[in-house]
Amino acid sequence: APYTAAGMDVKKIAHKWCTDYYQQHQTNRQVLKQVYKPDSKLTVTNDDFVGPDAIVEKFEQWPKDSVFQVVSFDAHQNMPNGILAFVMGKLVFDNGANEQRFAHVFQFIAESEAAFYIQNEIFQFINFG
Amino acid sequence: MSAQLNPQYEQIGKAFTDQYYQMFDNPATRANLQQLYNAEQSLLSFEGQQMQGAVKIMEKLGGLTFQKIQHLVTTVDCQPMFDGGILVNVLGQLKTDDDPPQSFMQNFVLKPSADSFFIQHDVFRLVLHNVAA
Repeated sequence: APYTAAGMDVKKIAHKWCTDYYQQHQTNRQVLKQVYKPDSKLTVTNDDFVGPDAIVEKFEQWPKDSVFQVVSFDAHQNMPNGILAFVMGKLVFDNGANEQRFAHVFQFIAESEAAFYIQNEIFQFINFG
Repeated sequence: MSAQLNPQYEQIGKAFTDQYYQMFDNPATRANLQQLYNAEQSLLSFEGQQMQGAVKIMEKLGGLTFQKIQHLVTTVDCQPMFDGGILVNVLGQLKTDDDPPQSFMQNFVLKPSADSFFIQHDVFRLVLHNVAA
């Protein structure tokens, strides 16, 4: 049975997954390897990274004290077991001295009611306007 | 389910984005956007407001209150999806009438249909300068 069946609050589920993801990003990025599979793909600043090791290695290059602040959040059910999440936010780092606006898109796939993995992910800094 | 990744995802995603904004920005062709949406399946979130199906989507887009609009795309990122779809993330600026330019984010998920694609998902947000409390 699909875990994201009609009637479930898609936005609430995806928001929890994103919150957990950002929390993990801020505390221990290595643990994020659990949410990617070998063919998961991340596109970040015009480069593609495939699989948990490559993806997390890229994230480890970011400042260690990065804090994600979500400004807007949208979610749509997609595919029988999937939720698309669309985030716009600010990445705050250097102890609050610097911040960068970003756009972040996820295709989450639900493996069970509690477990998800990320099949597609696009992250882009908003450096204009 | 084995993946059906479309190898031309980048080309299709970028060409689609160009076509979409050209159609949108020209008042003579804006109504033709309806052809890109599916009667039942397309889902639009416009600044947090959700609507489904081509008719309701076009009601929203056709009811926007500006005389002139121009989209200027800064970045387009595409990825192939495992069901043959194409995920497109667009960042850019838009200018309506004599207002100052505003930054926007728009995401499309294109789904194959016959020998073309339709917009299965469309999410539009203006980029705010200040984080809401």
